[in-house]
Amino acid sequence: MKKFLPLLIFLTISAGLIFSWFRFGLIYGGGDVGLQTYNPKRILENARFVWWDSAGPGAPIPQGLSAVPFQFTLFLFQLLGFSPLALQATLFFLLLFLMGYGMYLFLEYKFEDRNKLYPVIGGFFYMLNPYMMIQVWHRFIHTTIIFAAAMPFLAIFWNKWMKEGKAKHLLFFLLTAFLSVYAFGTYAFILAVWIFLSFLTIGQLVPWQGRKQAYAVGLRFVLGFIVWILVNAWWMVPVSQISPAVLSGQHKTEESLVTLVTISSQEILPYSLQLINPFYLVYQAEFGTIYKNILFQIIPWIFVFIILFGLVNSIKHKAFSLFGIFYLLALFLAKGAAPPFGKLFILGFINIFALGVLRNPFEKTGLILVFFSTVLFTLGLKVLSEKFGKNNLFRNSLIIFVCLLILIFSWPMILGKVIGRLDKPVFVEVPISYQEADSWLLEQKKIGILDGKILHLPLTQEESIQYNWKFGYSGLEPSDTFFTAYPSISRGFNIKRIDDALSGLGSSFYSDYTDSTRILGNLQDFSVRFIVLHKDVDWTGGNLPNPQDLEKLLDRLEFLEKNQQFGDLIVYQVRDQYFKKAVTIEHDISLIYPGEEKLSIWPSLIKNPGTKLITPEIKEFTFNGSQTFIFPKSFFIYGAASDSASPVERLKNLKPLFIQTGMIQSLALADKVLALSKALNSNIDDYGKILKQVFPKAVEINKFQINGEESLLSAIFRTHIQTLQNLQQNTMELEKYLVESNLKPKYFDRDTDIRQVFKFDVPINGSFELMMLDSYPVPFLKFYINDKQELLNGKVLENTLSFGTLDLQKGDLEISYPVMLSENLASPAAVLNNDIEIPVNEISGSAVYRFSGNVRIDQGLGFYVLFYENQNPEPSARESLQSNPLAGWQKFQINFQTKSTTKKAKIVISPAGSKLTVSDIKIQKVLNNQIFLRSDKKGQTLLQDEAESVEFIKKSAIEYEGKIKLANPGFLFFKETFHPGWKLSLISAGETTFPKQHFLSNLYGNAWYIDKAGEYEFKIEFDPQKYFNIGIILTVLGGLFILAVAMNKRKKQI
Amino acid sequence: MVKKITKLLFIFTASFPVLFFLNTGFSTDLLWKTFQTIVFSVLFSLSLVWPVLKKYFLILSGLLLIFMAVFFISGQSGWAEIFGSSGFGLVLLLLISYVPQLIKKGYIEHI
Repeated sequence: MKKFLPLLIFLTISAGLIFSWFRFGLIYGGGDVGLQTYNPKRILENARFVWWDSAGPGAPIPQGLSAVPFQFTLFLFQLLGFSPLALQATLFFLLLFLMGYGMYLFLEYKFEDRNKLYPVIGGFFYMLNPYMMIQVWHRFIHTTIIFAAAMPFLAIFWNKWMKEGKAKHLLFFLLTAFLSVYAFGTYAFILAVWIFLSFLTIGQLVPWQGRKQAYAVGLRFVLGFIVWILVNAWWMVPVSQISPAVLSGQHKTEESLVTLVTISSQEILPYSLQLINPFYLVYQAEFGTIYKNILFQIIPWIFVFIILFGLVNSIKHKAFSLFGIFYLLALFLAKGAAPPFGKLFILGFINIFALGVLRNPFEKTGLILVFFSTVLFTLGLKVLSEKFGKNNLFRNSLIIFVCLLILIFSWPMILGKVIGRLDKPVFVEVPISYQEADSWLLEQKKIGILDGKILHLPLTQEESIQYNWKFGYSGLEPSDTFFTAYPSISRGFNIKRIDDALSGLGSSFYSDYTDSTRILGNLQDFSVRFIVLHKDVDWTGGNLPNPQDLEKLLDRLEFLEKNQQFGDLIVYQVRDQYFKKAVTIEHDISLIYPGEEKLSIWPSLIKNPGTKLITPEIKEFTFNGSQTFIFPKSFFIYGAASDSASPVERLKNLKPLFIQTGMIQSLALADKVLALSKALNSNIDDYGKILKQVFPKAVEINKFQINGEESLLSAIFRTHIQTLQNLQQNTMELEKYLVESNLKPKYFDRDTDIRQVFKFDVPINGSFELMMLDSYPVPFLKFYINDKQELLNGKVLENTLSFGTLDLQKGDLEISYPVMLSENLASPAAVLNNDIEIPVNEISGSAVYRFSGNVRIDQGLGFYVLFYENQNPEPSARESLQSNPLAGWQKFQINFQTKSTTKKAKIVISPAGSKLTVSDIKIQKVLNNQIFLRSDKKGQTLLQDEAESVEFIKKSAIEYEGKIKLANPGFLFFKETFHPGWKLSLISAGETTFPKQHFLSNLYGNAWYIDKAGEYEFKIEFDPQKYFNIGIILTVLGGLFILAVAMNKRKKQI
Repeated sequence: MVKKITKLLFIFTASFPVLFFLNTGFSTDLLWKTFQTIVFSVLFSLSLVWPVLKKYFLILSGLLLIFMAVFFISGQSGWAEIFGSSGFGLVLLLLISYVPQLIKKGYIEHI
C-alpha cells in the first residue's frame, strides 16, 4: 500500500484541481489555441493531410500532423460518448497527474532514497510552481502543457538509456516522445527538448571514466538522435519540406529580434530566478493586484532561496553536481538577451534565422529551467530539513510551511481561476445554434450539394475574433471546427497574399465601390455556396462591419436565398444558377501584376466582374489577356516632415523609442548613421576652413618648383581633387542605395513638398492608362513620371479616375505626385461634459485624416484628443498633447488612420482638467490615393463554347479528379490557395501531360493554361503530401529497427 | 609577482573585449553595463591569477544575489537587475575555472 501512496497522492491532487477548475460545468477556450478539445474528430480529419482545406481557401499546415496521435486519443474518448467538457477535464486531469507523478518518479530514481517524502514534494512543486501557473496553465498553450507533462518521463528513459544502454529504455523514450509529439507543433520545443537531453547526456560523461565510456555515451546519443528522427520522420519530413517557406513568409529576423529584446527586458534575472513572467502576473495583474503585495513578493524568494541552497549543496554532491550547472545554463537560456552576457543571444538571432523560434526564450526554454529548479528545490529542502537533525517537529514544520507557501502562491490554480483573467475566466459555452446550423448544412450535403465553401460574415482579416456568447469568446476564429459539412472561409492566415485576397472578399460587402455584381463575382471566385452571417460577433472593437448592415445588404441580393435562421446565425445560399464550382474553365482572362506590397486596392472592385485574373511569371508568358493591371511594386511618402527639426535631430529623438520598443538593430543603425553624419560634417567643415586659410598664401608662395617640374602644391591639391571625386562616387553609391531602399525617388528628389511615390515594374512595352481609385478634389494633378513632369486631367469613371494614357517601356517606372489635403471636413462642434465633440463629414475607410488647429492653454498642462469610429464606445486612438500655459497660442497637428470598415467618426477634445481655448479647427483628408496602370486597348480573349464542361469529385483535401471538355484552349481555375505543390495532370488518349504554366489566379488561387482543345481526364493533387508517405516509410523502418534491437536478447545492450 | 601581474594584465586585456561584447555589444549607452564588464574582467582575471580569491568572489556573488532579492522586494527592480546580473555573471565566470575539477571528480571538492 505504501508503494502506491505517492500515486494516490498525485491522483488525489489532480482530481481535486480538476473538480475545482470544472465545477461550473463549462469548458475553457480561446486565445491562441481556440477550442482544441471541442471536436477532435474534425481536427483529426484535417490533420491527416498536410493541406488543411477546412479553413478556406486552404493552407499548408504540415505541423498539424503532429496533432494526430493527440487528437486520435481524444477522438477515441469522443467515440465513447465524452462531451467536450468531459474530454477537456479528463485531458487536463491526466496531464496534471503526469506532471506531478512523472517528476516524482524522476526524483525517486535520482535520489535513490527510501524516504519518498522529498520526491513527492518535488513532484508537488513541479505541478504548482509559478512557471506552471502562469506560463503553462494561464497561457493555456496546449503544446506547452503536454511538453511539461512529458518532460520527466523523457528524462527518466533517456537517462536510463544513456546510463545502461538498454534498447528497451530507448524504446520507452521513443514511445513517450510519440505520445507527446503534439508538443512539437511548437517548433521551438524540438530545440528545447534536445538541449535538455544534451544536458542529461553530458551528465553521463561526468566524472570522466575514460574514452571507452565517453565513446559509449556518444554512440548512444547519436543512435538515440537518429532513431528519434526516423521515428518522427512521418511529420518531420513534411514539416522540413513545407514549413520553412511558410515561416519565412510569417516571420522576419528583425521582428524576432524585437520580440526577443522586448521579452528579455521583462525577463530580467530577478524574475527568471523566481520562474515568473511579470507581464501577466505584475504588469497586466491578470490574477489581481494581490501579487503586488509584499507578502506575495516574498514567497517566491523563499523558493529561490531553497533552490540556491540546493545549488550550493549540489556542487559537492556527485549525483547532483551537474544539475546545479545545468540549472545555471538553463537560467542563462531562459533569460534570453537580458544581462549578463545577453548579446550572445542577439548575435545568434541575427546570424541564424532558425533561432527565431526561440524569440520568447522564457516561454520556449523555461521548462528546462523549471525541471532543474525542481531537482534543486527538492535537494535544497532535503538538506535544509536534515539540518534539523532528528527534531521531527522542526523538520515537519518546515516541510508543512513550504508546502503551504506553494499552495498559497498558486491559489488561482487551487481555486480554479488560473485559465483566463481573474475577473474574466475564459469559459466558453458555444450556443446550440452552431450545432443546429451545422446539422442543417450536413443535411444539404446529404441531399446532394457536395461542392462549395461557407463564407462566414463579418469576415475577420486576422486569425482571432470576439463573440458575444453567454460567457464571451476571444481567440482563434473557431468556425472551421464548428462547421463540418464544407470548408469555412472565416479568418486570415497571417500570410500576406492569402490575407490580401480574403480582405478583398470581406471588404466587397462594405466597400464604397462595391455593387451586387462585384459581390457575386467575388463569391464565384472563391466558390462560395453558403454564407453564414454571425450576428453574435463583437464587431464594435475590431475592424469588422456591423452585422445588421450586412444582413440588410444580403437580404437585398437576388442571387442569395435566405435559408434558415438559427439563433444569431443566418444561413444564406447562393442560388444554383449563380454558384461556381471549385474547378472551372475560364476564357475571359485579365492579367494582374500585384507588386510586393500589401494591396490597398482590391482588384475585383476595378476589373470587369466577368473577367478572371491571373498573375503570370513575367519572363515566360506571351498571352495578353483582355486587360492588364499593374500595381505598384512598392510605394512610399517622400518629402518635408511636419515639424521643423533637422533630420539629424529627428533621428536623435527617435533613439529612446528604439530602446523602449526593443528595435536594437534600428538603434545600432541610428548610432552608425549619426556617427557618419558627425564625422562627415566636421571633416568637411574643417577642410573648407583650412582651405580658405591655405589657398591665398599658397598662390603667393608657390615657388616649390623642383627641377622645373610640377609644383608640389599642385600635386597635393590634385590628389585632393581625386579624393573629393571619390567622395562624389560615394554620393552616387549612397543615392543608389536610397533609391533601391525606397527612401528617395529616383527622379525629382527635391523635398520641398510631400510626395507619394510609386515604383512599378512594367512587364511589357505598351500603352497604359494611369488610374486612381477614389475621387480627387482637383481636376488637374501634377505628376512626375520618371524624369518628366506632367499636369494631367482626371477623368471620372465608374469608381476611378483616369489620367490618360502613357506610352511605357518595359522595366522600372517611377510615378509620384504631391500629396494634398482636402477641404475642412469638421462639422460644427458640440460641448458635452466639458468635452468638445467634432463629427467628421464624409469619412471613408482606410484613409488618413489630419486634425489640426490652434490651442491656448490657460490652466493645466495639456489635453487629450480621442478618435472614435463607427459605434465603438472605446476610442480607436488617443493622443495626449502637452503644452506650457505660458506659451500662448500654439499650433497642433495629429494624423489618424481610419479602419477599412469606418463609415462614421468623430474627434473629441478632452481637456482632462485643463482650461483651454481652441480655434481654427480643421479635419482634412490626406489625399494620397493609390494609383495603378491599366492597359487601355482590348487584348486577347479566348473563345468560349457552350459545349464545354467540367465534372469532378473531391476525393480528399489533397486530391481532385474529374473530366473536362474543352472546345478551345482555356484556363483551368482551381479555387484553393495557390501553392507550387498543387499539380495538374491531364490524361487524353492514354497519354498523361502536365501543364507547366501554373499561375496565381484571382490573387490567391491556382490556374493552369491548357493549350489544346479536347476531352481530358484530369487529376489535381497536392504533391508535398508525398513527403508524409516518405516520412511514414522512414518511421516504420526506425520503429522496426529499435523493436528488433529491443527484442534481440543477445543485443539488448548497446 | 611581476610575472603574476603581467599574467593578470594579459588575461584582463584578452577577456575584456570578449566580455564587453557579450555584455553590451560594444555599446556604452548604459554605463552600469560597461562598469559591470570591467568588474567581471577584473575579478575573472584575479581569480585565474590568484585562485585562492575564487572562494571570496563566490561569497561576493552570493551577497549580490541577496541584495538583488532585497532590492526587488523594496520595489527597486532596476537595482535588483544590476545586482542580480552581476552576481549571476560572476558565478558563470568563476565556474569556468572549476570545470576541470568537475570533469575529473564529478563534483567540486574545494571551492
